[in-house]
This record gives sequence, structure tokens and C-alpha cells, in this order.
Amino acid sequence: MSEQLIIALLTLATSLAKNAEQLIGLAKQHGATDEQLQAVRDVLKQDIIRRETEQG
Amino acid sequence: MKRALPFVLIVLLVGCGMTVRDTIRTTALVAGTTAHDLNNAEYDLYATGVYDAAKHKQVGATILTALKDVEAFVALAQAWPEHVAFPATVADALAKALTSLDAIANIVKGVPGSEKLMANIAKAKAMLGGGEKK
Repeated sequence: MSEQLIIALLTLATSLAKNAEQLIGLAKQHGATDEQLQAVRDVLKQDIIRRETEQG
Repeated sequence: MKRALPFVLIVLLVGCGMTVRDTIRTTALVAGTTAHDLNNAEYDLYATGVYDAAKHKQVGATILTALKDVEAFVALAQAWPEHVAFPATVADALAKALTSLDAIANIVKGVPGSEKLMANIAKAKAMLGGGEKK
């Protein structure tokens, strides 16, 4: 396996672990706000547009 | 799995001292972030040249489905009014989002040396209320 691939996999693993930490942090405080949910929806919509364009 | 989800989430709720609505909305936020990160990670993998454009398009179709399912779940969680019981539509959307994340995990499973990555995906799914299959 190439070094680049290993780095990409490690980056993803780190990012997922960070998500788990985020959930724990949020759970100790309050639920997600409307603004946070809207922000993540906006990001997802952009991801969807890019993928749809690629799919043709 | 759909029928078990409310129970799993209520257990999560008791553990954290949050309302069901707070828990689901937090879950939606993390699911959205995870889907976005997985999307970016796939572009990174493709950039390494580990697979060709045809495979990238094939993987991309699965990721596109997941992005849509997760966005729909986040939208429903966002629209859930306060002091309203757990809507069935939200539970269904959560189940669908988890299934889509599973589909991505199945693709990643085929990449050599991805054991640690799979462990982290499983951990993320468990945190999202989807449990862990071993």
C-alpha cells in the first residue's frame, strides 16, 4: 500500500474519532442548535451537488 | 432495526441526561459531519491513484446516496418542534442514514490495511446509535 494511501486512511480514522469526541462533548452540554444543523446541511448540499455533477 | 432504534436512543438519553429531541439532533449533527468527512476522504483516496475514474464514479454513487439520506435526516431533526414526541419520520430517516453509512463502510472494508479505519467507522456508528456488528 502506498504511503499516500496510508496517510489518507489515517486522516479518515482521525476524523471519525474526532466526531465521536464531538458527540460526547455535545451530549454533556445541550442538543445541537438550529444553526449548527443548518450549517451541516449547507455543507452536505454542496457535497451532493458536486457528486451529482460527477455522476452526470 | 427500525423498531429497536427508539429503545437504543432512549438508553442513550438516560445515560446523558438529555431529552430525546436533544439526543437525536446531536446525532444528526454528528451524522452529517461524518458523512461530509467520509465524502472528503474518498476524494483523498481517489487522488492517491488507488483506483481509476470508473471505480471512483461507482463509489461516488454510494456516497451520494448516503449524503442525501443523511441530509434528509438532519433536515427532519432540525424541523422537529420542541415539546413534540419522537416523530416516526425522524426514526425512519435515522435508520436510513445508518444503512447508508454501512454501505460506505462495506466499500472501505475492501481496501487493504483498513482494519483500524473500520474500527473507527464501527465506533462512529455505535455512537450514532447503530450498534456494532461483530
